[in-house]
Amino acid sequence: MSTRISKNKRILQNVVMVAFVIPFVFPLISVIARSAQGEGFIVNYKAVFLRSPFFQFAANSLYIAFFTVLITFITTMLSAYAFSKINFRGRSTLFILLLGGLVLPSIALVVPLFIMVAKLGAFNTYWAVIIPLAAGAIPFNLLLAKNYMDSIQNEIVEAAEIDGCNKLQVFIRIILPLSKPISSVIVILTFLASWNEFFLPVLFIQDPTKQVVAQVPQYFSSIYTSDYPKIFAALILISLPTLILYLVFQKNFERGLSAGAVK
Amino acid sequence: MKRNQNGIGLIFISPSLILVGVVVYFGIAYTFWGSTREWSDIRSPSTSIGFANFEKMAQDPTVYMALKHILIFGFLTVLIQMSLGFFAAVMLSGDTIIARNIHKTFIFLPVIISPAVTAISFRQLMSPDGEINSFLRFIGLGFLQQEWLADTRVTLFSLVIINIWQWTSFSFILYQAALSQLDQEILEAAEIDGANYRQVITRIIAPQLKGTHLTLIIMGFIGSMKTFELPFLVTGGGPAGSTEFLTTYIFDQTVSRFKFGYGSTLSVLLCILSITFTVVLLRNSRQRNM
Amino acid sequence: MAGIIMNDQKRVAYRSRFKVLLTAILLPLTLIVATSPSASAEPTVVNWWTWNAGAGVERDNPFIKAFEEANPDIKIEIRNLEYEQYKNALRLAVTTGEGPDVFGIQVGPLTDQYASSAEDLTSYMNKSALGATWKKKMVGANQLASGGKQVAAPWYISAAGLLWYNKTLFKKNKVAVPTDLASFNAACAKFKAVKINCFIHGAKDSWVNLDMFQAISNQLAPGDFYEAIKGEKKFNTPTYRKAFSTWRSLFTTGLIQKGALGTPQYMDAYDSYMKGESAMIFLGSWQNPQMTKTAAALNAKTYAGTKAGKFVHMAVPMPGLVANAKTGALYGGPDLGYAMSSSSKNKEAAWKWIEFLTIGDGQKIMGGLGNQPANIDVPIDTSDFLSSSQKAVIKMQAKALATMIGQREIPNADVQKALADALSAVAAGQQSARAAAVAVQKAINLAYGL
Repeated sequence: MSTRISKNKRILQNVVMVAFVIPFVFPLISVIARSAQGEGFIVNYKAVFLRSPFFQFAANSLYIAFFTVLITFITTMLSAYAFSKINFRGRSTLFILLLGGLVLPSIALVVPLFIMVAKLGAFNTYWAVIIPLAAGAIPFNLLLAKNYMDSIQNEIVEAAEIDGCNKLQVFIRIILPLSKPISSVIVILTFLASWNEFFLPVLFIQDPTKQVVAQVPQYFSSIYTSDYPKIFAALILISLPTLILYLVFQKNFERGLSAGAVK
Repeated sequence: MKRNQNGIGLIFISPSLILVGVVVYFGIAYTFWGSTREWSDIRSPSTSIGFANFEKMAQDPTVYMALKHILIFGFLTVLIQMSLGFFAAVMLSGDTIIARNIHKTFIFLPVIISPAVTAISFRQLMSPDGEINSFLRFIGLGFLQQEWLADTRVTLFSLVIINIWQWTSFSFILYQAALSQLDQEILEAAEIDGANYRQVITRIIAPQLKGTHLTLIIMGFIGSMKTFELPFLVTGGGPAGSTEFLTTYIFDQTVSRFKFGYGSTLSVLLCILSITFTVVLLRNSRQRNM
Repeated sequence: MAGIIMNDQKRVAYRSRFKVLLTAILLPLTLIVATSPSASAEPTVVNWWTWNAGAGVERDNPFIKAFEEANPDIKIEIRNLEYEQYKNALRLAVTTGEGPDVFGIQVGPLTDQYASSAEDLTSYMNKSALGATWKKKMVGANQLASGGKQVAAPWYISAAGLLWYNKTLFKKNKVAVPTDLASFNAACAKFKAVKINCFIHGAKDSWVNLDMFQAISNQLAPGDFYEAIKGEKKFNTPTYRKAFSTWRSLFTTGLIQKGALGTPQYMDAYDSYMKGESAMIFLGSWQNPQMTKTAAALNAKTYAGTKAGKFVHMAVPMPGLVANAKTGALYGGPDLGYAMSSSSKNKEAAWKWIEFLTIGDGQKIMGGLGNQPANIDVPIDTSDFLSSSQKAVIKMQAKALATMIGQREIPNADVQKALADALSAVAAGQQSARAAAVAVQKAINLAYGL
């Protein structure tokens, strides 16, 4: 249809689109620009690495994110497959029950979580952070994954079963390979949430060396003063892993998100 | 065969069920129980007070204010994000625009930016001498300058703007996917019929995307009910309560002020409201599946 | 809320590159070692939680350093958090045996809320070097008691009610330091002419609004506020209606900058003052340490490329904002006190640490930093001040600190919130002075069963 659009209109549309995109980019550019102020770009970024336990905290966050993603991915995909392709009793009730987790904001869970963590002796362990994060991530990811798998044709599954595959084999050999787009959605969204998690580690991890990457900017605030350029530098460095993950999986991510939500 | 399927189905869903059950359902049950208690010290036992907390809530002006904010916030963000997302999806659906992938990436980036970064950068952009006001002055629209985060008539709308910045791409991606599934022939036919561009969009394309509209509306409203980090980090619910949400109020009561009983009551309200929306969401998706 | 105190001041300056690299390499190792059964010669560990470590945290903290040298059998493990987070983390952690042994608390609601989690320090204090005189020697110790229990021992004293100003900026622009509303406005007119923000106030933070309201109330009726807020006198009176309308006028006349309601006192408003972009800010005696050369050097680094650290930081009592104002009163008490967790497993060592901080040599270290130690016999050390003229600030404070007009922190949490909300609403023009006084009176009545 574009071939019929005149040249002027084409230029106009491009100009409009650029104007549309600028507001989305500008805040990010301003953050980067601010991170170069004060003592300068190099000094600021170096300071993040050298004056805060950046690598230590990043390793801690990575540990939390890795296990949160792993648990969320396995449990979500397995149950999405079951809800989408296996006909078992109570399926729709259980599905609604699981989605119920969508409705509760995590702050409402703080006190009950603490009671549990204290009773189970999980205080000061990473599991006190990983398990609630995974449980919180399951409902939304399950909704997307189930919708996505609904779009996989039942005939493919049936054919595999006729060939002698059991349910687990179907899942591993057929469903998982076909689910790359939705898998990248689950991985990225869960990674994003657990990597940036700030609140649960503060509450449940008391050992100062076990803290997480979201605490790094605090190293550049002192009692009354704060070094904003270095705080921005820290924030940018913290955002990089998610950004890279997104850029690597971009195509699959967008496909997965739309297929999972549009159905 | 049938029995076999029952077993295997349950086995596959049991890990999620256990996790969500233990964490979320224990939490919900505990919250319901807590809502009937007077409990202001985590060390000392609570006492049952029946539904007194609910009576208190029914008369609490902050609750009504927060509900009003959620409604305004939900309505505006959903409407504007959908419009902008739809617009971007239509614009980028043809091949008129140069470097479409770069545009897409830029629109999408805000989604993967953490709330902490968003909050701190917008706090600066929206300060009285921040970039937004400078820009308005620069393009000769100085009269539009605002005390974005200080003027109680404006603050809620400032949060709306930030939310739009962060989540428009979500609408954009869904519309983009939906557009790609539309029948191209109808569009071509419409053009041959002489319908102009605007008519094609409003009369032919938009009505066919009903499902996407509905998904976005429901998700948007649930999202606005659960919105917490944005007001918490940017305005702290103020000034003068002008950006108080149910979630920030729950935080204030439960975490900052030790009032676990009343905080739970507010959580119960939030739960009930969200469940209502989720049921609508499920009904809607099931109807379309059948 | 004496200085919603963030992280420590000097951590950044002291941390050497080498040390950090070393820690980065060694920490994973120590983690592994820590999980294995420990040898019997290990020192007793005291977990110390605070939002204000006085100076540098971790190994650089002068308090920890001096204490561990004197007590090699005890090791202090510090956890230093930003104040809001600190409160959240503490609330839950005190209920477990793994929480802190020693933790900081503030005067006011926090003291009551943590009373049940803390040991009564009375008998410990009686046996200390101060003996039975501790109640007299430690200023404001009673503010850290609740229900007959001494919940915490005060560390240092701070009082609000001071207008801090950039003396260098005043001199350069030939502006007179304000003493009343007229001279305040005149000063602002002059600063405005040279495009410098006159007075900066972070009205997003309720604590600084509560401080300002006390300043105004004390100018109208000295000391009356502290009785009214506890229900011992009426609050819904012409005095407080006048105080509210004066507060509102600070916003309408532009004395307080535009956008103030969206600006937090720390960091934004304070940053503006520190960078030399604003000439005045309303704070308290906890700013004394900023007068030292050490702090100036650090500020110059933190705010590189600005005027920070290159001006003389001075204070006067808040000028009169009303006609016939009675000025000069300061209000406050212990900035923070240290409590011992009742679930601590090392109470003896924990007390040794509290004693060091609040009675022993820790008080001298505190005086050396520029803060008034809780023990009134220990003076502030002014030797490191940037300019000798700043000694006048300490002199001016001395009398007011010894005779403080009230305790600054509003004792009841609900009343505190009601007043904070009212101040925010009045400042925004959403509530009239009359309605605000009524609302606060209502909260007082509810809280004290009137």
